[in-house]
This record gives sequence, C-alpha cells and structure tokens, in this order.
Amino acid sequence: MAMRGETDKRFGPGSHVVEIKDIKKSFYVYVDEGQTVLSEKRRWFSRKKPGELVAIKSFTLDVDHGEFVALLGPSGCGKSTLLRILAGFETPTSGFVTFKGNAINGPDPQRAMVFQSERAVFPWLTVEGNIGLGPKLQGMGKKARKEAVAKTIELVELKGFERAYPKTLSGGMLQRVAVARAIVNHPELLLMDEPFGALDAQTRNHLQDHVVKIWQSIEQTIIFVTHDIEEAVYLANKVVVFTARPGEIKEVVSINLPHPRDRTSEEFIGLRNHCTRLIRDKHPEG
Amino acid sequence: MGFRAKLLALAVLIFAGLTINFSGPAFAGQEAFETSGGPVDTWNRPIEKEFVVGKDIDPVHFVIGVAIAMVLLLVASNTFAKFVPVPLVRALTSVGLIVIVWEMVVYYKLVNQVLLPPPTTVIIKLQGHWAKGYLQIHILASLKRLFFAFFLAIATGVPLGFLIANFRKFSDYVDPLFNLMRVVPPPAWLPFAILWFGIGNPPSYFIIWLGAFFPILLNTISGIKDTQQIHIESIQTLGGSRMDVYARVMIPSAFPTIFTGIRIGFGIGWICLVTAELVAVDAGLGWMIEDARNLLDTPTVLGGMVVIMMFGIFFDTIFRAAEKEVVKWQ
Amino acid sequence: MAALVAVMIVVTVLRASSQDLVGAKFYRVLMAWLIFFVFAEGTIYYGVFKSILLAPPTAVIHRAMFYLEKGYLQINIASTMFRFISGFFIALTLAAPLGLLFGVYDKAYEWIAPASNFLRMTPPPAILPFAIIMFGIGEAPAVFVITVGCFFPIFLATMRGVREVETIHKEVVQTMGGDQMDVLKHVILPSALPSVMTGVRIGFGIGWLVLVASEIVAADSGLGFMIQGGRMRLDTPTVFVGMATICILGLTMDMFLKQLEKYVTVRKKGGGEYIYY
Repeated sequence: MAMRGETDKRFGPGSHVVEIKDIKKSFYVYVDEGQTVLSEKRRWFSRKKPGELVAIKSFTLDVDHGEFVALLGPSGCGKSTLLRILAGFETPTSGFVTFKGNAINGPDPQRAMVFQSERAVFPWLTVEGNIGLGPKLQGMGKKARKEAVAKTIELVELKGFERAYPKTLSGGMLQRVAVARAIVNHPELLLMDEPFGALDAQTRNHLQDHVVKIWQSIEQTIIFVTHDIEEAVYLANKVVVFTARPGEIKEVVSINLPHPRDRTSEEFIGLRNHCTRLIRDKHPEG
Repeated sequence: MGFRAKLLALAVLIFAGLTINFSGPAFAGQEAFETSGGPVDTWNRPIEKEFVVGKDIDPVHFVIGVAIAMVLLLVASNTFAKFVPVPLVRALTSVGLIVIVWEMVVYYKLVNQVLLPPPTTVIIKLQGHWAKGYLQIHILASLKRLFFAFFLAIATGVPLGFLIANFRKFSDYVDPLFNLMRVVPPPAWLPFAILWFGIGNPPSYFIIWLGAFFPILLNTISGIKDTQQIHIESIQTLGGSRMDVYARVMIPSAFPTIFTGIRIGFGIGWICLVTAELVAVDAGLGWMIEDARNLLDTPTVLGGMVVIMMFGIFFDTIFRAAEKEVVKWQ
Repeated sequence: MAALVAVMIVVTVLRASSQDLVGAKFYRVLMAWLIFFVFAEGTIYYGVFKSILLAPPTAVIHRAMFYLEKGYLQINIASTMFRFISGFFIALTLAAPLGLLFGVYDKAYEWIAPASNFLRMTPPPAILPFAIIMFGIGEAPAVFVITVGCFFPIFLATMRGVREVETIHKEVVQTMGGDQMDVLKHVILPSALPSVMTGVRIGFGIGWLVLVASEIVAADSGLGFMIQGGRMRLDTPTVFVGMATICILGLTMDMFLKQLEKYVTVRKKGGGEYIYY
C-alpha cells in the first residue's frame, strides 16, 4: 500500500487536510416484511439475530491540500460510504478520521458535498436561491451574497439562468448548480459522489472539464468518487483503486499528466489500462 | 414574493380568520330585522302574507331569454376564443339547458309545482330574500362559521402534522387516537357536540373543525414524511442547523401536499357546515333551507341549494387557482 | 373496568406480535390507551365532568351489551348498512358506465366535464331538505342523497382514468389487429381501474359521511337516528355506543377497501400499477 504524507506530523494543521486511519464501517441487516433494511443500531425487539454488512474493512489514507483524489472501484465497494463519512453523515465503526487536525463532527460547509442525484438541488428555489442559500446560512449580507453568487454562476457558466427554477433545467445544468452551490462557500474540501453518472457522455465530458477548470482556479482539495475508470484518470492526480466489498485499498496510482489531458495520448491510455487491470483483477468475469 | 413573505401572509390570514368571528353581533344583520311595529315571529321576521317582492317573471320570456343568452355565448366563444374561456361557456350551456328543460317541465304541468317549482319562481323568491336582507344574514353567518373553524383546523392541523411526522414518540402516543377518530364521520359527532355545547355556533365550529382537520393533518404528515433525505443532507452540508432543516427544507418541500390537504379539508368542512346547519344552529344557509322545508317553501329550499352550490364553486375555483401558484415549482 | 384494561392489553399484544409494533412503540401505544381509559373512568367517577357530557367506558359497554341482547343495535346497524350499500351501489352502477362512456367519447367529455365539476361542489346534505319534500321522511331521501354524494367522485375519477390511458397502449392493441371492443377490454378497462378505485374510495368516504348526516337529520331508524335519539333523552351512553359502532364499521370498511384495492391492482417492477388480469 502506498501512503503519502508524514505520519509524525499527524496532529499538525496544514500538513494533511484529511487523515483517515484504519477505519471500518459495518451495518446490521434486518429484514422488515421482505425488505432489507440497514441499521446502525441493534434493535431490542426482533426475532432473529441480525446479519452484518461490512462496507469498509480497513482504510487508511492521507490527503494533502490541493490534491485531486479519485476513489475508483466497482459498485458497492464502500467508496460512497467513505465519502459520506468524510462529509459527516456517517461515523466509522472504528478508527478515526480528521479534517485539518480536528475530528469530524457532522456535516460542515467546509467539507461540501455534491450528491449523485441532480435532484439534490432544491426545486422550490431558483438557481440564485439555491446557490445563495449557503452564504445566507453563514450570515453573509445581501450585497456580498449577490456578488458571490454571480461570480460562482459565471464560473459554472450558467449566466442568464439565475431566476430559473430547477424544473426547467436539464440534468447537466442541475449538476452545475449543485457544484456551484457547494463551492460558493469556498470549502477547503469538495466531495463529489459520482456526480456525472446519470448524464449522457457529452455532457459528462463537458462537466469534467468544468471541474478541472474550477479546481485550477480555486485552489482546493477535491475527493471524487467514481466507477468510471476513464473519468478517474482524466481528472485526478491520485487515483485510489478499491477492491470489491468489503472495500480496501488495492493501490494508489499517481497521475502526473498536465491538464488539459489528452484521452488519446499514450501515457493516458497506459495509465487507464493499468487501473483497468487493477480493477479487473478481482473480477475474473470482467 | 419570497417564501417568508408568503408564510407571513398565511399566518396573517389565519389570524384574521380566527378573529373575524368576534366582531359584530351574534348573527350579522340582526339589526336589519328590527322592524318598527308590525307583527314579527320569534325570529324577528315580519309576518307577511307573501315574501315575494317584485313582479312575476313570464316563463316564456324566461326560456327564450336563456336560450338566446346561450346561443350568444356559444358564438362568442367560437369567434373570440381568447377572451371567453371555453370550458366555462360549455358549463354554462349545460346548466342553461337544464334550466330550460326544468322550466318547461313545470310549465306543461308535468310535475307538481309545490314539489318542484320552476326556475322563475325560485329566482323571484331569492330576489325577495335578498331585498329584505334575509339572504345576506344567513350567508354571512354561514361564512363566518366556516372560516373560523377552517382556519382553526389549519392552525391545529399543520403544526400537529409536523410534530407527528417528525417525532416518533409524539406520534406513537397520538396516532392510535387519531386513527380511530378519522373513520368516524364528523356528523356522527353532532349529537355529542350538541350535548356539550348546546345549539348555536359552538357545535358547528366543532363539526366543521373535525371535517377540515383530518385531511389537513394527514396531508401534512404525508408531505413532511416525504421530505427527501437528499434535500436534508444537502442543507446540512451547506451548514444548516436543525431549525434550518425544518423551516427551509421540510416545509417548502411539503407545501404543495399541505395545500392540497387544505383544499380537500375546505371541501369536507363545507359539507360539514351544511350538515351542522341543518340540525344544530339557529341561523345560516342550512338552517334557512331546513326552516323553509318545514314551511313547505320549496322555492327557498331550491334557492338556498343554488346559493350553496355557487359558493362552493366560487371557493373551489379560488383554491385551485391558488394551488396552481403554489405548485409552480413541481 | 379491569376487564376493559385486560382487553386493551390483549389487543395491543396481538398487534405487537404481528410485527406491527416494534420496540418502544408497543409500550407507548399501551400507555396511550391506559391513560385514555383511566381518564375517562376517573373523571366521571370523581365528578369532574357531568355524567351527561361523558360516559365512562363501563357504562358504554353495558349499554352496548343491553342493546345487543335486545337486538336493538343489530336492527339499527342493518338499517344503516342497507341504506349505505344501496346508495353506494346505485351510484356505482350509474357512475362507472357513464364515466366510461363520457371518457371514451371526447366530444361528450368536453361538454359534460365543466358542468360536472360545478355540480360536484354541492354538499349532498344541502340536497336533503329538497329530497325530503320530494320523497317524505324515510328511506328514500337518505338513499337518494347518498347516491348523489357517491356518484360524482366515481364518475369524475372514471372519466379521468379513461382519459389518462396512454395512447401508446391503445396503438399497440390496434397494431395487433384489435378493434374498438378489444381496445376497450384490454387497454382502457385495466388502465383505468386504479383511478376508478381511487374514486370509489373517495366516494365511499363521502357516502359514509352523508349517510350519517342524513340519518341524524331525517330518518326513523339507523345508527344516526339512535345517536340523535340518545341525545334527546340525554342518554349519553347510547350516544357513545352509536359512535363506537360507527367507528368499528368504518374501520371494517376501511380494511375491506384496502384489501379490495390490493386485489385489484398489482405493482410491477418500477412502481407502475397494473391490473391483475
């Protein structure tokens, strides 16, 4: 396992933005009227002993400021769970995670998350309203808010749609709103959970370029979950390849190609093949 | 209008609806009936031979007039389709046809005039009531009752629904009771309400409240329970507190469903209003109809029915228009 | 009193064992019932409420048993149910075919829809006095009013169900060589059925409400009549017996309807509801 960073500076601010140390995440499995339900706690009135589902077996990783990390793996390998732990929606069953030297205590705008479904955008607010909600919650004044929102809208190229309702926007535009909504708070860490999975190929490529552009202009750390090998290699400078469930790190692949990357270049294809082989290794059927 | 402004407007409306009942005399317009001399009945109505004011309407002229009006409307809707809404015209035409048939059926003595008076008589009767202010009193009494109880139902149903949807402990205690009450139609509570409150306004408040409360409650519960987890998490990741989740996500997200519940609740409250007024009150449209029935004054009975129907249509239209505005983001 | 508490505990335990109640909820529901009964018995016993306002559960049960012995309760239940079922079924047999007819023929629909949307808004109890003038006091006005009340929801829902049938399904049957009757039988009826069921459910609810209302206002038998009679004699236990019976009947019909709905619609993968045909 390749690990980056200096382990003796564990609690110092500024060395690692995120530190994940040997975390494990498991759930109890109950069957309610034929439906399988995952639960964090044990119930006290149930007939059978619950099953156990291990989402993450053991995971350790350090992420530095300004890195673009891709978490790559097959479906169900625990990468989304890991992201949710980083975002603060779940807590690990054991092990610890720190953000800038402090423990993670729940969701925070500094660790903003962009969700997989484009329906995470609030349908009852306009584009402006959605993007401006974060600053409003932080107490920003009306004028400052308007400026911040306008700047972000330009960055995601949604100018002219400020007063549109999500009902009228396409999937790609909605995801742009979601990204804008996350970055307007200037988060230190941007977490993206397969945000382009539901979009068509062209929109996906377009948005990938967007993300790279944003990452380059606002220097921030991005952790990006995907099952698309090409996407991971195209975007990240560090690809963490997972095994199937229960998830563990297979290998961390560094990608040092400059942006914008050429999907047809030899180095790109070589790295992509390397990652493909890593993933295929545990899946004899392909 | 911003969301907060809308919420504020709604709260003001509810407050106004609740307090409006405490202004004015017990039944509106009661003074109008203080006659200076002349015999009056226990209800202060002047005892007259005929309640009819104005001339009779000639049935033939009436039928021809209605027919011409229908034709004109049809023509107008065809040529000026933009200004005249076609469904409305069609509805009016159907109603016009019924009215014509009705008039002719009675004119040609196919039906007993006491059992089914022709539209002309009904119109005259209504006109007479209106001229004396009789109709207005009852309309106002009914409306006051309805709005007071209706807004009370909103003021109790929405917060309770919110609590039930969000707090398991609360719902576990309260749910069995509500599930039982829900299946009992509000009119069944009438005798109980009369035992407790006597005849007059209070039992009708109770019954109308019961009728409007449950649709509002159930829809609020369902609307808030349907709040999507992804929206809750979105606002959390933006830095929202618990109050923010409640106020900025749950309520806007559930608002269309809640509004539908309010519309349905109004409809059922309307039915309960009429029911309560048939039995448990001393003024109001339902009372007017029942009283007229006891006097075998069929024109008033039918007239009252028509007035009730028109008010029902009026309010339903308003609600549907408002609903369209509320649901614009769905 | 003790017997009552025992009954409640047994009922709650039965529900719990069917996995309906899980964990703490079981205790809370039990507590809710116990509090209610203690409150009801206690307030009367200690004279907090005058005994005409609330009847203690024991008195209600005694009265109910008394009526059951004499057959008085059964007669009234039968009377009420007879009215309701007749009214409902007349409405059903009128509304469903008419709804189908008007739904299928567009021209007819366009003419009838606005008018029926208007007529729908008449509260059936408002028709009651007129019906009494026409038919006199007895069975007829109640059944008439219930029919009117049930008619419109079923009629409108059927029309809407027919109109919302997807054209693509109709076209499929036509390309398979089906004629109008086939389209009707294999596409329209099955697709419209869920909507009709919704209308039936709403009609049921309104019909039940109207039934009780008409019995209270103008009837000479039935549960509503029994309750009203009880009130006039200041006989509160009877009032509660009537209300509890109505409640039980309502719950039974509710369950029955839910079963019917389940039988008639079958969920396919993806959440669409189709008919078990």
